[in-house]
Amino acid sequence: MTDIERRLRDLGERVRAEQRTTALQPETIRAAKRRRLGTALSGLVTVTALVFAASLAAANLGDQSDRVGPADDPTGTTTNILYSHLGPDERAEIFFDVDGGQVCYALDSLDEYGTFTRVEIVKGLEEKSAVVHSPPPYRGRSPEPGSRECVAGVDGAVLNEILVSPDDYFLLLEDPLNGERVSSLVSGKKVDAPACGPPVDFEPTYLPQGWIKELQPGSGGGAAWDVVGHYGMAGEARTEKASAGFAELFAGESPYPLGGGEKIRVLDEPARFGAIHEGFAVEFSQRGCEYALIGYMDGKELKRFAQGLRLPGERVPAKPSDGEDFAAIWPEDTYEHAEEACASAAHEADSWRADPERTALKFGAVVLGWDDPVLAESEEKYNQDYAYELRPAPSSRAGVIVFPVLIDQGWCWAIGSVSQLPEHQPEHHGSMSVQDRDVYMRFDTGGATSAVFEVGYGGQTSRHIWYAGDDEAVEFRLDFEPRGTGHFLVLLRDENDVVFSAFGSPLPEGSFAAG
Amino acid sequence: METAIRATRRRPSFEELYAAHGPDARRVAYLLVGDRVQAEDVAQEAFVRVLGRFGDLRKPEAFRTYLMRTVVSLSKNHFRRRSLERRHAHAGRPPMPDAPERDDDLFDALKKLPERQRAALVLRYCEDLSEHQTAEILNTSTKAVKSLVTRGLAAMREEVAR
Repeated sequence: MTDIERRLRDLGERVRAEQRTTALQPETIRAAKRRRLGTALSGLVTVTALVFAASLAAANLGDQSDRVGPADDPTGTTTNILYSHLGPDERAEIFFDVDGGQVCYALDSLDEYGTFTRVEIVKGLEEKSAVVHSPPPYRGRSPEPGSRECVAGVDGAVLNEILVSPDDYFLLLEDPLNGERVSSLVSGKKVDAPACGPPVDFEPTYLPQGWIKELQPGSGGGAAWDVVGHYGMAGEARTEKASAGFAELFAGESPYPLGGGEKIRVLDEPARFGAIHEGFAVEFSQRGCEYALIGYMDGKELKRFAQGLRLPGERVPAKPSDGEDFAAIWPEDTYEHAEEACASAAHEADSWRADPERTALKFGAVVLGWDDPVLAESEEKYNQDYAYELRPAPSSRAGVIVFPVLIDQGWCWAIGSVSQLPEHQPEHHGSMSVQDRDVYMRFDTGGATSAVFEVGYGGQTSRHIWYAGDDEAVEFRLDFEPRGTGHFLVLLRDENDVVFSAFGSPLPEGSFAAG
Repeated sequence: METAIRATRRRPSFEELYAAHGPDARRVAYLLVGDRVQAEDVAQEAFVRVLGRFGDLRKPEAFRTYLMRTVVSLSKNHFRRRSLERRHAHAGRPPMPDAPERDDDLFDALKKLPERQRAALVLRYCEDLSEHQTAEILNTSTKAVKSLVTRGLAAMREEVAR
């Protein structure tokens, strides 16, 4: 250990020792603060005035009010710089047009700071200050949303320098007429892709409990330099129920490193989900821009929320993107019904449809009639992303394999098909046909005492109950005209009318025959 | 049994968190900004911000890391603003009395370092944190911490030798 290292450790120890005595105790500090307050207040006006005077001198701009006014829209040479104040909801958006030698301000991004008459970009603190620009872009007016005001005649070389090192520059907002500085802004941040910032118009289709769909301004909780906004409960509700969590949307990569990360898809593009040390994050991109959702909430919920994001006007897609017919047996067997149900489920307090496991369990309870079904990951390999063994009880020999399907790349799940456990699989596959309204089904009933044969189309279903001893070929007529896609489901029951196995699959539109 | 489980999962109160981490936050802030009063401001503001964000901490062990990160961040900006005000004030009139808080060449040298180097040295040596812990607080890699520490120590040696 070097001498400096040893002395630094000693310094830490000495400060700790002071804390144990009185010098760094809060009471002592507060007393010192009270003593200092008078001095600070008396110096404030002077400091502000000096800043004002020094600014004019350094900038040597004289009266530039005639240069202030709307300018042409920034061209492709414009680069955004985002200056953030310490407050979570405060930021100033500034556009640097290097080729045009002008600086443009998004006025509505400045009005959070109150009335001010001067904006200065000030260079550096460790070296001599130089005011880059000092005319007044804002005079207490109520700016129109999206309005900009530009100041021309700024040295392009200086602007270039700011773009290279935005952190070296600071923004001062002042109201020298009233003798006070409104605010100083620090920590400039270059935003390389202007189109990636706000407005962001993603539409959530899945909402955790109590959340609202709208992107709310500012961060959800603490300091956040580049946050575009946050999703969560409405402001007042969130205050009352902090446990609901929230997700902040950032333009660019996650400000916190993702350890590892799971590959998912968001907005139909590759995305990454992972843990950060205080919560979870999703990095995704859209239209060439990168975004990050930082969720201080349950990780699964954040993932569902991200997967449920849509672009404006985009339908909640229930139809597979490869153009094939919609393929699910439950809860819906048509695209239209699934779309409607998923949109509605997005507003449910605790939607089981956002989770494949809970969807499978719901299928076990509602369709198979099991009181307390249990799931296990299937050890068999299937050509499906998700396959679970679903049983009425952990040790039960009864059970099925269910295949939940994610409806397109969204968040909403359905049961794509169900098949018998490997040990229940019959030696001979059956056959089936649907001709207009006439259904013919022949299956190995596997020792069932009774079986329910169900065929549905477009939300309508016909059932036929088979009993042991009957002919194993079942024929019945649908109570409706089959339209659109459909499904069939066979529930095999024991002597107590309890389902011990089942199989079922989607049916295509129109007449069908297989087997 | 249920009572015991609940007791261990009870969320710590603000007072408990402040009692547990307040001295660390004040100390690090003081070492970074070099002013007791400002250090107290920084520490309190950091607490308010972190508690505001993590009202429902699932990982209490992350509280300290995030608190320290916020302290470092606020100290940096506090230092910048103070420096700016002081320089402008000096431009037109004698400087306001700002006696050094500590008669210590090491402390003065520390205050002259770039912010991240200063933070790295304070966390690594004064706080005796590991490179990994320092990296977490500074939100960077351990490699970057090593570099910051090496450069910071070199600058300190040079400054102290003057």
